Amino acid sequence: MTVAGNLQEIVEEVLRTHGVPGASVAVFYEGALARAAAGVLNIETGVPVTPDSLFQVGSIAKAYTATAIMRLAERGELDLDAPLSRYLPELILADGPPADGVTVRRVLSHTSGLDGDYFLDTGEGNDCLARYVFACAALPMIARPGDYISYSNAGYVLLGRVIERLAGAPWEDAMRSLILDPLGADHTLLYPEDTPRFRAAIGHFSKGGTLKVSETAFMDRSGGPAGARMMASATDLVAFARIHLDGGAALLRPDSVAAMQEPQAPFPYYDFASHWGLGWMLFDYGGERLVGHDGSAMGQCATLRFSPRRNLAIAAAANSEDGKPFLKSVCATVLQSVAGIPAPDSAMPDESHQAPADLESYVGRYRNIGATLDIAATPSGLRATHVMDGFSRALFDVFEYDFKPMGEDRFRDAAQSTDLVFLSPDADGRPHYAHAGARLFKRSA
Amino acid sequence: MPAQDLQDRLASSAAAHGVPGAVLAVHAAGRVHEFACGLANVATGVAATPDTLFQVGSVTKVFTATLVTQLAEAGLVDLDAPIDKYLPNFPAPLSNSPPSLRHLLSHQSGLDEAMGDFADRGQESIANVVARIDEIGSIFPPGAHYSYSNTGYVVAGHILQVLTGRPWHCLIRERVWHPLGIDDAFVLPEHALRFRVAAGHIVDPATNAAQLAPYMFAPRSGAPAGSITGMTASGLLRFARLFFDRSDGPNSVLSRNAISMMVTPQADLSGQQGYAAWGLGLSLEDWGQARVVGHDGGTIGFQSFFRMVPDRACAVALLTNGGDADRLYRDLVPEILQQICGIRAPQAPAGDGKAGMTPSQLVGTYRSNAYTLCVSEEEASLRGTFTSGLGGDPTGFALRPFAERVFAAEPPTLPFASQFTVLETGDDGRALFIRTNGGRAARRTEGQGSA
Repeated sequence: MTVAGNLQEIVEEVLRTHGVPGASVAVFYEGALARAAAGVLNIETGVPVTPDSLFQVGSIAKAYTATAIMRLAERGELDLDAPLSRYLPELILADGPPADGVTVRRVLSHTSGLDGDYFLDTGEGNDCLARYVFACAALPMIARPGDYISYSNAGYVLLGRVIERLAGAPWEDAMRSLILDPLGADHTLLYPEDTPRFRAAIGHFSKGGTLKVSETAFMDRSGGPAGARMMASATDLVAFARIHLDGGAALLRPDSVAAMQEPQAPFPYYDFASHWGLGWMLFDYGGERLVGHDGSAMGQCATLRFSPRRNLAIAAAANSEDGKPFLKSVCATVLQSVAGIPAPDSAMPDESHQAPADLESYVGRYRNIGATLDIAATPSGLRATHVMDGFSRALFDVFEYDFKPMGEDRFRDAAQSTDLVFLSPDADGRPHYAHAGARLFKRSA
Repeated sequence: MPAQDLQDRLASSAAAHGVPGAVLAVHAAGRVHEFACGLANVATGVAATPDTLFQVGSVTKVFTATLVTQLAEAGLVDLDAPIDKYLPNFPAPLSNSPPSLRHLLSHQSGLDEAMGDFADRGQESIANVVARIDEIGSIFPPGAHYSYSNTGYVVAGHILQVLTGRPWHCLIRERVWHPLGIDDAFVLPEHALRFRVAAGHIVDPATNAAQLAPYMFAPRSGAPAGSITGMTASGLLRFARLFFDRSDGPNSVLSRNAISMMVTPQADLSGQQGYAAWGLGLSLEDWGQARVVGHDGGTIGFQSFFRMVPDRACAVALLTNGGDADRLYRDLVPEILQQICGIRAPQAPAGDGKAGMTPSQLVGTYRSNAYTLCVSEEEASLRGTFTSGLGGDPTGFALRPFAERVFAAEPPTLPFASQFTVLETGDDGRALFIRTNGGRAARRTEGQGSA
């Protein structure tokens, strides 16, 4: 099929079935760009979404932060394998100064061991990241550097501060000069003060079955380098992906592009991604490697996938907390129909459906800085209750999961496509960690 | 005027004057009528609607003054105390005593203007202005004259923060907007995304071609003076009802006494720009027998007009995002108020061509942070050269006696600096202070008078 011919139909159809207020999709394939948009930016104003509309892209901004780090490394201003503390000597964590094993590379691939969901209002001022670094005196390590993959927003905020220091400008301004301006990304914004320029979507949350406009438009500025505030059109996301399709275009050297897509660490399960590269998530679509990132922020979400081998990229964004199934569906439909790429392989290998003899060893409370995971045994497996801490508690419901055993220390809630793995058992077989949603949780009881 | 006529007039007049988008709300006979035309943003093509938020600029000063008045009513501040009572070490460069809150709110503080920093986005930006108040300086001693001062309102906003321990942007929502049901408004740029918002435009007067303004917001440090606020026209009218009802209920934002304080003349303007006087945060006009109170606002790419006729329970709000909005106002608002209230706009005072001063009394250089005016005598006539404090090329013009102590620029190239009033003369008869018709004073400086 031709992309342009059917994309609008696909987006409208999938949008209808998923009840998302508005969405925008852009696809680059065989040298051509196709764009589609449907729905409204805001259910209260009813302003229609156009292909030029901006959405919050959430953590996709991490790929931008990572790309900026790579540019600085190419210039010789930064060594990926140097300790983070070389660039942030003032950084002291809850456990003291970071170990030398907390390297820039490991922070990029979420293997540094830094705990992750540490969001903090350090103000709207240009010193917000400098202040965040000092506030990390309350941030613990969740694992030893290099041992496990555990998604760390905090790590990317710290990388943002490294960029500020090396570029001599606030993160947002540094990103503009290092990436956005050279790319010609004129439908991407980092400062909320630029929103009136554009058709820009507001997030929506589903409360008691009713969709409501998010009362808060943006997360705190300090989270910017991890994706708190960036907004972009799907077209601009695809343009950014093309840097990583075209061997760097004029922005990065081909070896940097390749390094970012090189697996740094495998996932212990498949619901998220198969591996992490440097800033990029790596996916297994039926044996075929796709690269990309997902993101969500304040009731909006976005996804970016590309295949350098096929010179193909797709970006999709939607303005609902519940937009992820829409994004997944629209991406799968487009990738299948334009390039015959099968759906991603998200099924955990089925080694055994038998419940392990001793489910009790998993039972307990597991925590990280952002959430608590309570695990209880049921006749058929494990029940998990996930409660967020901090600002997220007010926004999100308590999540309940019913996990069925899938093999040694491995469980799956098929209905919610969520995996749970237990790691690092002690002498009595009691695991030290639960790993779910790309994050480690450390046993606390 | 029938509603359809008004809708047509708004659209045709806005188009004629290069106004990209406009919203008009009229409160008359107990009802609100809303009209909108054009675009909220010429780049996106999103239409302006009655529920579109426009930046209202200095209309915000009405709310800052409301907050100060609330504190005065609660006994937390003395409007007449020198403000070093609340901000120790606040300077008093040209007098023995710093200005009072009353001076700040009625533009009699003498505080000069400050250039804002677009990159100063933090909550501290307001305090940062106060921290450099010495460098910003003063034009005249407190109480001596009227000179429109954004700095005065930033200082007032800072005092509000210091005394309540709440950020100014929270106070305005908690203590003014929320009790009045004004939730379609924002006071921080990061809240704008929530609404249908207008963008400011720069319009080429020759072609009426509009493009987006280079900055979407003025620097945040000026927030209490109006650098950020976005509102709907009908939201302004919800505030206006306070001035009609004058109820003293437990939830009233302003008591009857507080409203009386705000509309009591503090600084006499004797008809300059049509204003009779300035109250606390409100301009006061005499339209025949009726007192019209309100405020205008102008910020990057936006102009707004807010008028209330408390005795007739009428109000008008006109919000625009570029172009020659003054002419749109003059096309529509006087006629609307005439029709709904039966009152007529005052005529601009006619000059008799006699200033009562000799040219040599005016010759010299006058300066403030906002502008420099050089006046020289050439072949028995006066010549003025005006240079904005923002930079740019100087504008030259002849200066002709217009009325008692008033000189007019010819040609009147600059609408906000086409007349100059001598406010005070020295013992030698030379002018010491002048003020533009835009309401900004400057002080004679000694030394070289070249532009």
